[in-house]
Amino acid sequence: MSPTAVYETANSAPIVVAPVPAKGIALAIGSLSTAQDGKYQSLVSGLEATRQVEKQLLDRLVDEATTLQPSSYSSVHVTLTPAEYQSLSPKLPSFLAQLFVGLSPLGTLHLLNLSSAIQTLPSELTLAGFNILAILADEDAIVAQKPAHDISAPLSLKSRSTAAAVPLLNRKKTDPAKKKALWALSSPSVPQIDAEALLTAEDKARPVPTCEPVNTAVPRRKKACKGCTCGLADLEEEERKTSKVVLLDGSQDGEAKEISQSDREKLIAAAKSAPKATSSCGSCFLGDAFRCASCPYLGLPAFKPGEKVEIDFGMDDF
Amino acid sequence: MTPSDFSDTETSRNLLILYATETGNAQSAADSIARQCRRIAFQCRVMSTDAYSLPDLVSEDLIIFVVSTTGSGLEPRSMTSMWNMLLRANLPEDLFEDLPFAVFGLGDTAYEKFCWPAKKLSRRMSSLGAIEICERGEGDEQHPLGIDGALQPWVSKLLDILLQLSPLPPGVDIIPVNDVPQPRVMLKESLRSTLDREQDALESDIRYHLATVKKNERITAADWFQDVRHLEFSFEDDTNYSPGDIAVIYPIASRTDVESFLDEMELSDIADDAFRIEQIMSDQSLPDHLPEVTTLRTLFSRYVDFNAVPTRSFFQFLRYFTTDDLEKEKLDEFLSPEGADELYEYCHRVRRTIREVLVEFRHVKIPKDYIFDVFPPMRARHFSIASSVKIHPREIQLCVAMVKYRTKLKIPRKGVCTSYLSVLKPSDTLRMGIQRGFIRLPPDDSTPVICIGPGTGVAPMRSIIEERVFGGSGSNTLYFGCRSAIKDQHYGSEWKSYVDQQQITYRAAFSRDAPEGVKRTYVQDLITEDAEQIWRLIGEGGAWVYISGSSNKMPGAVKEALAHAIEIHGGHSSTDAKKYLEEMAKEGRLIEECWS
Repeated sequence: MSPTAVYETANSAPIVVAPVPAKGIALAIGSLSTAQDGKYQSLVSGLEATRQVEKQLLDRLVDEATTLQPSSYSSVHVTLTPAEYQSLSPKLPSFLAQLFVGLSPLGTLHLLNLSSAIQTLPSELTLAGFNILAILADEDAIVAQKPAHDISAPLSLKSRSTAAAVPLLNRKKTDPAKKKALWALSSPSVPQIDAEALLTAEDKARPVPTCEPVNTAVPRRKKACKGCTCGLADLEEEERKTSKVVLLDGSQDGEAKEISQSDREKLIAAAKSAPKATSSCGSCFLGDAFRCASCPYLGLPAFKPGEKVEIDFGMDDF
Repeated sequence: MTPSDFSDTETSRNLLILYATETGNAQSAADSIARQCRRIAFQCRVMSTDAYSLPDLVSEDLIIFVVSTTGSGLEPRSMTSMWNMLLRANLPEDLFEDLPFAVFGLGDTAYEKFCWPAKKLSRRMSSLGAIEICERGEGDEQHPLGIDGALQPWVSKLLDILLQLSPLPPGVDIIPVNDVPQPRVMLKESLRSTLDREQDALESDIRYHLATVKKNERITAADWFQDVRHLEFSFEDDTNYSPGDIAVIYPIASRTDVESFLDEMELSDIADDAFRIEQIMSDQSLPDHLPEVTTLRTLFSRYVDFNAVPTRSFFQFLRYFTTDDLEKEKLDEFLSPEGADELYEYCHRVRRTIREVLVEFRHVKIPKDYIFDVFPPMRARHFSIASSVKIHPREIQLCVAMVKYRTKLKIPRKGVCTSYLSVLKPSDTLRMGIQRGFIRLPPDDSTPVICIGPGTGVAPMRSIIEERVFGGSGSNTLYFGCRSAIKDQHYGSEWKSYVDQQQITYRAAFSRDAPEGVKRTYVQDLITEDAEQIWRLIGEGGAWVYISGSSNKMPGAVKEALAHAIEIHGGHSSTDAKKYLEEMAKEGRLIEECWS
């Protein structure tokens, strides 16, 4: 299939950090539809820039007119229309199984142009033996990987007590009893692997905490980070220093005066006089959950009108 | 039909959930996952990693790991044994070949090593052949809904995958999300006489030793804001421990506190009735060391914590159990996605406790069977031991800062365990466990050691120094930091005495003693000042270095200062100096015992 027009080389491969074999042969699978709308050609040209590419049409694989050589491709890239992914559903397990066989160990499978199929594919992929590397919603793509060693049978949860031996490929398998022994017996002299080396670059990438500009009006969800650089920590400290305490005069008209927190003696007087104060809106005594934002009693416990409000001010400011 | 009816079929519906928790969040998440799996007829066993028989790991049918992250990006200590077993280099690649698994990590994106233990675990299991059936979940405290933000969708995905792998047997339907989940236990009335046979479960746990309080002294100045105590405990038996080991203590709520709480809950009448605890939901965790027969008073004193800051699921229970419309409305608001910020402001940000919330939601009546569903378990707290058993046989000494701080709430916040410790008097007893720490002393007494332990970080440093001096070791250097030379220089007179006898080199930074406007000095500044000597000790003397204290910025700043000394005086490049430190850590010559 040769393109009849010139297309832009699109970078169709999403950037995924995972251990993969050096750029061996890639298999690009498309359909007549994606050939017509140009997606297939862009995929192929993009890949051809860096490696050898073999091409297949979806139908030939699904109809088993062609079979893939085992462990031949270091990556497989599939681009179909959303409708085609949909109609592929019933044949998906065997299609994925074929791709699995054709991939080299650690080879990657890239499913592109997915739209709604992106929801259901991950579990199908897992069942077929793939590990999901990335689900890229923005690009409608999924990248999966064939594990380092083969699992010949699709996965199901086998009860250990009725264990039928899983059929194996030509590989020397460690005897179960030996495995148990190796696992259970520990010798202090056995060296350890480097745990940090297990992590991929993606794993290690420093997460960026979402630091939106502080909106002083709305209730704040985010506490200041320990290494705060956006000023939220300073704002919180300000607030704590300047938060007021109520001095109540207890009369019927319920005048509440605000004083600064450093005025210790007045504070104690305020707490003592609290029982004489009455609430005008009816909610103040209920507790912070039901108080309005401007309630002078905010921060004080709930009380029954007339009850004494006791606060331990034994600790100085620091 | 119950899940156990399917044990004979080919497909396993057995699921092990192993959690490694720091403050109880991973445990709570594990319970939540188990409840959800129950809806699709999966029978879960939920256990703390350190309560699990690790040799059995290789024979499991399916494992979900729920793993928290400590302040320094390490795995919780309860997971360390399993992790060390997994890291062995001689394990075959196909060790876990038939084992499906999944990992959910709990962390905070404000920290660099976000969910690293969970990430490392999933990679390691995969490298040993285990099959990751579901992409790793990563809960983030910074998310508006907290950990739940990631947990809820992850569990949905997990359930879908589990159903694919193990479809429901015929005749069994998915149980819809219930209004009120069943309680995990039932409290059955029991005869008072059975209570007398009730033991303090810690009594029968040989890992816990009976300790008698000898001393409980404040070692900071009386007018200083922080109350730091020096505690001494004596033991009947020959308890042995090494420098850097950790004392494990379960707090007990004060009598008066429990009394008034029971009063608020209107439980005073039945507070001392005997109940037998019957576990109904075996897939939900219960507090450690729970006795079979007990009273509500005992439960609220020792086994559940009504002074804890509640989680979102607590508010869900309040919603189930309130009869008042105003409260229902408020709780619905709090529990909605839009109300998440408000709930955070109301509760988590100001550290409002369960008890305080219950006082405000006066119409909530919690049936006693739900006690373990609503109240979190009373967790043990850990304190680095500040003494050497060689100098103080049959004794453990601790240096503990009482936790007391202010938030927007007018009543100051107090630590649950430090509140308990603060009122202990000589001749009071308790049961204390001892856990191995990370610290190991150099096998050769002549190897120099450098101890860096500001604040209460000086506790394990004291145990190291005592042991080294006892053994006659020569080169011991202590870097200490605090705010004031006269107000909070912990064990200052002891250090002076060691210096006078030329047994240690002591360098102390007093950060607030400098006049206003002058830059504050910290331990890392002293290390930089002493860079040449530091290099002599480390590079030429092969010194072992210990860092202990707050895991916030201090360890990083200290390591930078060490790297700087290695660079300038060891003639290394900046990158190589950092690598040098990393090598030291790998060799076990650079040890951190820090806490958040």
